[in-house]
Amino acid sequence: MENLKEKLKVEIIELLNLEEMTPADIANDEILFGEGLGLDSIDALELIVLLEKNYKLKIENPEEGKKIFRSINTIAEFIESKQ
Amino acid sequence: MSKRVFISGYGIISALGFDAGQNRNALKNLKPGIGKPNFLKTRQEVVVGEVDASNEQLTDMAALNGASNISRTALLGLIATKEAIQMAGLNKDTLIGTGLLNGTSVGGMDISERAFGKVLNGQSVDYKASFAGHDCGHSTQFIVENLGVKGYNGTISTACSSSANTLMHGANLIKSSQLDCVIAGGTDALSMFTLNGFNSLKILDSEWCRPFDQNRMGLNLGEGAAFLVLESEEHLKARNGKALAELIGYGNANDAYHQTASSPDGKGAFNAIKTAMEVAAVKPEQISYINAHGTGTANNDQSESLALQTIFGKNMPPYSSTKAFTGHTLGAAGGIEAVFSVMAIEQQVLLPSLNVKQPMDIIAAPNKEYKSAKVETVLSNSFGFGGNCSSLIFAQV
Amino acid sequence: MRAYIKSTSAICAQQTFDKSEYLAEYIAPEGQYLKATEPPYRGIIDPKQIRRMSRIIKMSVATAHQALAEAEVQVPEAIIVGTGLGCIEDTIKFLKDIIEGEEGILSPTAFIQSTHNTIAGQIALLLQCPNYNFTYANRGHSFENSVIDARIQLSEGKDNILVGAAEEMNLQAFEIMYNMGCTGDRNKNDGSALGEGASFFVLTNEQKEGRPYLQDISVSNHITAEQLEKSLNSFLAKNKVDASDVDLLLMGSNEFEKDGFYEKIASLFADNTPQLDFKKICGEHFTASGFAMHLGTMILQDQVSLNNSYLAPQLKRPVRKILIYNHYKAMNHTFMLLSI
Repeated sequence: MENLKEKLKVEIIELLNLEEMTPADIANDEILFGEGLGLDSIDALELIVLLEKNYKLKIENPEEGKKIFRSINTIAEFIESKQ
Repeated sequence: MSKRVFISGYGIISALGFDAGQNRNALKNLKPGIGKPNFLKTRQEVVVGEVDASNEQLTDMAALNGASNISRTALLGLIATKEAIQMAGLNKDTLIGTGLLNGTSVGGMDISERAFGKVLNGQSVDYKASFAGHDCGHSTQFIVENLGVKGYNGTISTACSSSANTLMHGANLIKSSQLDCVIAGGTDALSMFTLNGFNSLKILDSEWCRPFDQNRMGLNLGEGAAFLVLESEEHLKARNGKALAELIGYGNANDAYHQTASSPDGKGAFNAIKTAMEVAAVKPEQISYINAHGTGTANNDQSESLALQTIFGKNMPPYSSTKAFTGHTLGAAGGIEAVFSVMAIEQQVLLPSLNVKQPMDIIAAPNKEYKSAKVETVLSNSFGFGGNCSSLIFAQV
Repeated sequence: MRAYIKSTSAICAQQTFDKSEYLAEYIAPEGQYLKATEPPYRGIIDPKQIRRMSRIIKMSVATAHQALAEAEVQVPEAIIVGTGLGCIEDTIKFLKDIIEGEEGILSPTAFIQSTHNTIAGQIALLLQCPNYNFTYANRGHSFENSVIDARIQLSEGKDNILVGAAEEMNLQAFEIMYNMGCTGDRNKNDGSALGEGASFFVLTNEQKEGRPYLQDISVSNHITAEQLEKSLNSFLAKNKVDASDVDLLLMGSNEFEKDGFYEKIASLFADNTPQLDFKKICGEHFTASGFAMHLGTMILQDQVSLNNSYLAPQLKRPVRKILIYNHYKAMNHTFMLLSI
């Protein structure tokens, strides 16, 4: 699980072009959207693509994505629960 | 700038038909043009509002004998402008001083995207023939050259409000006495590029779109072109032309909220409508009918409804979205819906919405019938990516 | 109608963004097209906002930002941008993803950024500017359409209008345009090499001593050299300007297209009228005339600092009137008259 979380952080930093950030800057429970990391709805669509491409997991409804993409913890839990 | 701007003709081609008559009949008979694509090559399982003709057939329709490799965008634009000129009765001499403004979002992408695939696969391509029509300005140049229009021309590319903005700019050019007569509208063909783009945003409904329905799932893309002839009063009189309607108000505002999404409260939409009403000097209660932007996405219809509520309050005029008929024709949508607005005035009818089973709870249900009504003033909305919000107001003459 | 130019900023192949080094040293071009000399964007654009921006947007946002700051304008009353090809890099990127992935799963960012009005939209978003926001994409008249609209907006009483020209090039777009025959010898910098960049202006109705203005602009399409001569004469007459009043000709001439148009214009002015070929600085592109207006404004506005420029020997002082003439592929012809 911890490996997965680290892997996710690296993938997210690269995918969303979060220059100046390292995995250490993102806490596992940090809120990714809005006030936390400041991601927005375009990033949410990018994360859906990430899960689909790298983890073969489909999220049809962007609303569903909101809960899953709350933090690194919730994304990792979602991936684990499906595998 | 007190000059008046009249509409003396229009031309339209869409999934509903190849000319104004066919489009009007489809609206009257509640017959949408949405279905599986026959000409657009795509792997996506979608329904679209496709113009029911191949490129070869469109080339014939535009009377371009044997020309090939011409973008559908340019072909559709030429067909619609020809009809507009004919309806207005503009002769060759008049066209010399006439301007043309074209709105398009992807220009000749339908041709260049195929050629680019070949380039990537290392196949040989005729570069000039394949890519010379890619940029938005090409379709404008193609149209003016084929029509013999020699006056000022311009191309606007502001996504889904492009052709509403050409009408606004056309009115400004007439009011500032830079032109007496201008053909304004827009054209956009379906392309693999836009289809996949909207699909990646997850805002396409795989079934018929349901604008202003509580359970709407997204939009259907469409294609088409529509152009209107705008004239000053003096010009119209001098050539004994007939005014079909008047463009009395227009407004453009930026939502400045998000790159693609509309603000939840419809701030930009509100500002555009408000400006248009100020220019037109009309009060909310004077609006007889609204041709809404109404794409069928969760976000647009919510945001537009709230903007309309803020402006009209309890006295919401009858409104509808004709996008359930044509699909969202992007750069052409403002022109197509301007033509529909003028038709509503000419025919004294309200145009219908389709596929509304459960109206939204934040706004009165849209009009669902093609029915007679006193239509003096019509508001037409077009909102696009980049927060671009435009509203036009047409009046009976 | 005069459009006064409060400020201007540009990024192009040569150093123009850092005004303390304005065209100080000639930067020899490398590669196949004239790639813009871009400033470090940190400090100009918030890193949170920059992450999705392609180069055309960064160049536009940075020059818009500099022009607004110099004009001391927070929120312009209109934003009008001209771009011939728009966000070509993201367009190509998204198209490649579609084709290579055979219409599979696609990341939406490049599509969002590919729209022509992303540039004006992004500027509005960053400035929280709710006002009039237009984008023209009309080949060699994309910038001209924008300026003509800006003049209408000024005449309607709007003030502090942000107008810009933007174009970007990349290797793939270059290869296509090269194969289309759009550019001459890749190795000669004769004004025909393809270029890119952004030029932004803040226009105002407010007259001020020493403030340059766009006196007039005229556009025409598909004309002969004879018609061009007539068109220039009526343009000058309309503005009550004699050919001898023009202190500098800024021309879009290049060695690749010897078509008689530039020669025709030059022949209508006295032999000792200085002429600068601005495309040797910014390269050929759909909105090169935007850079010409920038350069002309800088020359009028800041004649002294241009003493340090490598252009200095070619300028005769003082410069009070500049005529810009450009055409794109003999289709779109433009005259602009800049005065101070």
